[in-house]
Amino acid sequence: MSTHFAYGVAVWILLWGLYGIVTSRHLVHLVGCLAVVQSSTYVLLLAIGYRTGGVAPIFKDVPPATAAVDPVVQALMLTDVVVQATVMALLLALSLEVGKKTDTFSPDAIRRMRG
Amino acid sequence: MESLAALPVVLPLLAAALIATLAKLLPRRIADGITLAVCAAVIAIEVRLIIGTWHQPFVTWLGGWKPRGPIALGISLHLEPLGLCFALLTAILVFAALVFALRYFDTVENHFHVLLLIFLGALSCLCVTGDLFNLLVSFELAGAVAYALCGYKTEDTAALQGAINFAVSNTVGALLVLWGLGLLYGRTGALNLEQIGTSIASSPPDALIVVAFTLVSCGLLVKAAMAPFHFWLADAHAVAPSPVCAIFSGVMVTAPLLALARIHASVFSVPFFPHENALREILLGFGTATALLGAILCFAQRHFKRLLAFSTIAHVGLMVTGLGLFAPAALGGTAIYALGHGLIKGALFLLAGVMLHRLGNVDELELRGKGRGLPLLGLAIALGALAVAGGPLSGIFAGAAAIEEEAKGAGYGWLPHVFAFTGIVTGAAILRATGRIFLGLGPVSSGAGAGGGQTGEAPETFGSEDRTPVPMIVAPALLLLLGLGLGAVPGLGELAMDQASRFLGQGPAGPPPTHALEPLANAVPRSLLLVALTIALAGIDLAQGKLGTGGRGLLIRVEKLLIHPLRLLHTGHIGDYVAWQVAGVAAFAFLCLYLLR
Amino acid sequence: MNGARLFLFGLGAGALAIALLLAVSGLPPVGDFRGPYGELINGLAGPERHVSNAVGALVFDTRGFDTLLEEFILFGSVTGTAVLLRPTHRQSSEGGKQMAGSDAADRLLVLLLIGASVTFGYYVVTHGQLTPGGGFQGGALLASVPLLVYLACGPGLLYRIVPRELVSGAGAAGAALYAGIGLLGLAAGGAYLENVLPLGPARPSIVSGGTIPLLGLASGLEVGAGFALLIRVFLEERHRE
Repeated sequence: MSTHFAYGVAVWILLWGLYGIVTSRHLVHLVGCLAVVQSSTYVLLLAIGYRTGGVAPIFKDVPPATAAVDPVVQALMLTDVVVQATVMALLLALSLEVGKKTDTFSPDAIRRMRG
Repeated sequence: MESLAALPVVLPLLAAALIATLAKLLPRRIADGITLAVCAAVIAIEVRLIIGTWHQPFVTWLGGWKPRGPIALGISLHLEPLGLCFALLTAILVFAALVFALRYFDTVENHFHVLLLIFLGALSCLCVTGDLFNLLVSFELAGAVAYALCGYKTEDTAALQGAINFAVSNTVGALLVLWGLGLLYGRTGALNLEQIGTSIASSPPDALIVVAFTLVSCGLLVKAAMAPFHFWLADAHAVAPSPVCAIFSGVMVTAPLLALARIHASVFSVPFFPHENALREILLGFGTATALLGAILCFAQRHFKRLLAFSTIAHVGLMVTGLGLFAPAALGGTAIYALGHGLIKGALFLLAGVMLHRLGNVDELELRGKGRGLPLLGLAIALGALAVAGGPLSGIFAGAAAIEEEAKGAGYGWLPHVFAFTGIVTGAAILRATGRIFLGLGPVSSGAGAGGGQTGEAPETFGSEDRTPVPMIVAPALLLLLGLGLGAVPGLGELAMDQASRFLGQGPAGPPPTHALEPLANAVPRSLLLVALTIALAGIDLAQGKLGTGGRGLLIRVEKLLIHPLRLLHTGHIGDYVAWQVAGVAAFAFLCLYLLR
Repeated sequence: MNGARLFLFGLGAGALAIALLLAVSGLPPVGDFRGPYGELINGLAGPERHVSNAVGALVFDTRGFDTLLEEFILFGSVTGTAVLLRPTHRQSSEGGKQMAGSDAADRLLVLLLIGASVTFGYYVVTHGQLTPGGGFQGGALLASVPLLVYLACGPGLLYRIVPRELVSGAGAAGAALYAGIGLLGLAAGGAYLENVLPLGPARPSIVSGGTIPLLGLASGLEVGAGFALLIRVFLEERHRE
């Protein structure tokens, strides 16, 4: 089981992030929990790509044939980090607007459409 | 054709960036002109690509990175007619939306054009990409601009609610897809769909494959708004500006279904083949539940755009059942259905925008009788309602006929009744609203309980309210004509079925066999019956006051036992929505784990 | 409603946990992954593209199309945020209220940091194909400079060094540049985003990699301008009240 511990950590982070979103009472807190959920995907991807004893995939000081960790997951993560940052910016802007209109940041304040 | 392949993606993106670079230096007219020109160019290129790939799909590798042996290095674009038709639909809808917004839509520094062009580029990529991560990033791109477009009317708190619920739900959905992608990459070391499929084809599926399938499907179905992942759509599509809603309901909810079909065909069709019946029943179950839920709630709405949003949910449910039949005829039928629905629903949302412009509101009860001076508008919406119900001649009719025929052949004779029910109820809801607004029929207050929170909407256009500007007439008329005309194309069902067979043959198994379809004319009598029942249902609801106590008692009991509890579930609170998402994914996962191994 | 929601979530999360744990147990043990895709890329970054950063080769060359979309996600989101936080008719733009200034020690520290940050940011952007880094990382570093200025000197100076039109135009230009460089491949008769420029010296240097360093510069411009604009837009919002 210790060989798959990192994956278990990713699952743990995912579920607690989702719990945070479901029970959140403040929109900015909710956005932070969304970031936590996204972190679980980073942990998963990087754990998958890891290679014991491998160097970083930069071949400046080491010969090109050295065993290195997987660069593909790192490229995926790079894209994901940018996507996360920008979606969070949008959500925070929306939350700010809600705060301006309703003087509160609670999700209960934005239940104008129901049923 | 190699050189044209990436252009439908690159041209809109480049144009968006250039418009934004010049920003204030660019007068509105020129930005309009550039955007329309780019859309027209994309439409032309898509048509050329469809013609070029009609008999043989075309694969191109971006960056010139061809595979080394069995390992794909670069990102591929897999051009074939079904996907290209969806991309074409997107371009048509964006074009219509821009025509609609010409000169009268309140936009700041041409940001509206920039966001719409980026959306077009994203969807053009999504429909043809052969790489799983690229698919996810395209969805994220479309989503990011969609969230901003949804919350455009920041003065309206309901718009903020819609945008936030939309953004959080869809981001969670995207993360589910990413989890599935990670699992698949960990197993196969590949991101290219065909390569993943070949890698996992040789062994029976274990828990990892099944859960990966669940995560990827559920993530996509969140974006497609299948129940129980559908809550966000009713909030979002009701508050976005009308031209934007047309694009959302027109293509943004059906593109994930295309992606799901492609992923299943390329990756999962071979490992899951022994259990295809079980998977079919799962999808039929979820799809039917979505259709019924959407239809019932559609009927209970007063906010016209929210009514249309619930009807979208219902039709998505029907399309999921079409996908779930796993046959070329059904897939072809679903494609026709999606194209027809996209055009008609797009037209309906644009017409709702005209209604908002002329009458200043979209609340059905408050607008009672106020539309008497706009007979053409009412007629157009009524036509759309009958098309939604499955009336003859629309794309919806042609697609449904193919799906229903396949269902009966496969032993699911109850499915056509679900199609009929959904069509009748959603069509009747729109027709009832038309009758109330444009003819002043129906009781002043709805006998059924109120609820649904905010039912009005702030205006989004400027300019005189006394006349409808020509672009706002031309755009929905064009879409309506195309949507109605789609069903008139001869031999459409067979054409779609052949293409679908080739589409399904993307994976290692090869194309499945096709068979002859019944002529479409045979389905017309039933279609006319549906139209009659739709008019009857709308009439009954409008004539509530004239019913006897027995009739009214029945209506009240239906409302209390059926409609009211369903409405209570739609709380508007994002925490509830995400809880339903988690529960839904878990249920789907356990059903798959139990039945697919 | 809260109790029902928690109950529903609890059931779902518990079941999902079991499903996910079953799934991840099928993954190879951590550290044993031998993905052929990654190994191929590691092997060819140096010989075929004359760069030493394999991740950079992946991001800007092999999977450059993903990066194009990602650039536009950033660009679209920044545009979208600016749209969402636009001043409505009731408000004026540019409140410009001065916050309590910080003292001389803070300002000196920030001054020193600014110089170091800008230099380091440019270094990271331009050396992306040689060392860990690249357009995105460098752009984020550069965008942190206006934030430092705000912390030391208040919003007025921030508004002066991040003029709204110029910076949003620069970000858009960066995105356009990225998409445009890809067209060079088409012009040369190849595929979109193909690396058709001369690859430079075989021993990786600052000019080697063909289109890779150019794409890196374009993305650095776009990311830096984009994040700087975000910072300005959010802080403007805060000081408007």
